[in-house]
Amino acid sequence: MSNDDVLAAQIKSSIITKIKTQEYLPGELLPSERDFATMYSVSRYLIHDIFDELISQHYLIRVHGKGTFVRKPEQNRVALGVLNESKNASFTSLVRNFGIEISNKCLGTGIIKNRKYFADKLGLSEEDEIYGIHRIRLGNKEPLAIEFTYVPIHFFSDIDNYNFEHISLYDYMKSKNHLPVKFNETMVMVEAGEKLQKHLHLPSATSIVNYIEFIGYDENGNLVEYTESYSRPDKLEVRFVTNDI
Amino acid sequence: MKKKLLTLDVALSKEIKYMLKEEHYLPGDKLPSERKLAELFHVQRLTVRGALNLLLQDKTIISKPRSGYYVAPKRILQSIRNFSLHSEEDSGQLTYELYDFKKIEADNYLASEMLLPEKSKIYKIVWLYSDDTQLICINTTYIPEYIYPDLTQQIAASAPAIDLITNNCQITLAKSNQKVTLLYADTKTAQILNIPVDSPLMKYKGLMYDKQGHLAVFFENNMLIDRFGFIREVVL
Repeated sequence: MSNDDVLAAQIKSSIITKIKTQEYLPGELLPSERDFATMYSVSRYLIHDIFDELISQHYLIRVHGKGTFVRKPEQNRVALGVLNESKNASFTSLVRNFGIEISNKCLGTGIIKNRKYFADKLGLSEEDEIYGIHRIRLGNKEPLAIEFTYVPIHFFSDIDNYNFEHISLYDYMKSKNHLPVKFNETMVMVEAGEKLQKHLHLPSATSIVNYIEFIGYDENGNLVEYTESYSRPDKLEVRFVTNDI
Repeated sequence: MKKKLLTLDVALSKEIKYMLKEEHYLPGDKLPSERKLAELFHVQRLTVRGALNLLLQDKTIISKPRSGYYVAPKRILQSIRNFSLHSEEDSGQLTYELYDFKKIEADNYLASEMLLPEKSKIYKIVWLYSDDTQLICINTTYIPEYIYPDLTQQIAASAPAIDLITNNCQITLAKSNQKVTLLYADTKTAQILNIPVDSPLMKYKGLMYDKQGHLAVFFENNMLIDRFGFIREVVL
């Protein structure tokens, strides 16, 4: 075997292992052939050949104009990152496009006033009105996360006319020119209480869930979103990618 | 009429959180009694209990039997940019000791995690982190031999692995891929951390690459879930 063959076999087996161990998740977009080539210091052609082989062995699928994805089995651990709605795919807090069917179930919406905690989080004064949206996020109809989102009404005066089970909240915020583009996030793990257990269909009374708090700013630096998100760690994986190159 | 968005216990738990912040409560400080809180916020004792329960679940507070509720120890918040616990601002409260250092050959697991051939030479460095009361994290760092050919236990003990690489090897860590998952302590981990087997733990692991895209470090941290958190700033 030539050097390249050895290398190709190694790279291939490591990709397969990553798929099997769900380092690469079903439906996930893989780094480009170019990125892989750089990562392993090999030529793009070699990576292309490896991908071809993995495609023929049903590990990967190639979608024209989009890239190469991990093939989805029938059901599996679904998405990663956090169930936000941004279209921006890579490197963000946000879900990459996984091809799973995401739907929302609205638990309630309404106006909050005179709640110091929320006013403080959104940088408002106590008497300012805040609009809250409580939703369950489902992937292929299974609950993945529950999200409590709060936005200042003064940016979104007609928000109560929309149903965010069907409309993307971020599309709506964008239409008002207040799409959040910068986030401060805090992630911890917490114990799920009774209500969360019920909503997320958690198996037992002592279940641990991911808890992520987002503060979102629009491009002018306005604080436009405060969200508390609880998600199932067995369904959603929290990943961070940093790249300073 | 529409149902109220916030139930009473949730609303009160947030008010109490705000009070703790505004009135500069510190870890270990005692909260007012249930009765006092009920008076303060004009709610029923039952609501207070519900709210405190929520705060117990997210580890804002802890309860001491027959004594009351106290502000929980502060979580150590790790910025996703800084790769080393040692260098965190909060690390003043941490002590650490080198637990293990050896040169090993990559087994199947490491080879696949690190995308290296099996049997590659790797340094394994294990640090234990404690706060003032207990062990809170096992940090295992794997460094391929090609990154630091002459690494010794003495050098390894002198500084956190990441600092060694950046300072001694002049490597700039430019890319990383990290994830946080939930796992349950196996026998060995439980023993080291002195916790029951199957206790939930946060597993934080990641790969770091230099500017050329070569793997420099693979790390795995097993952390007590109520002692750590992660913070990050994301700009789209």
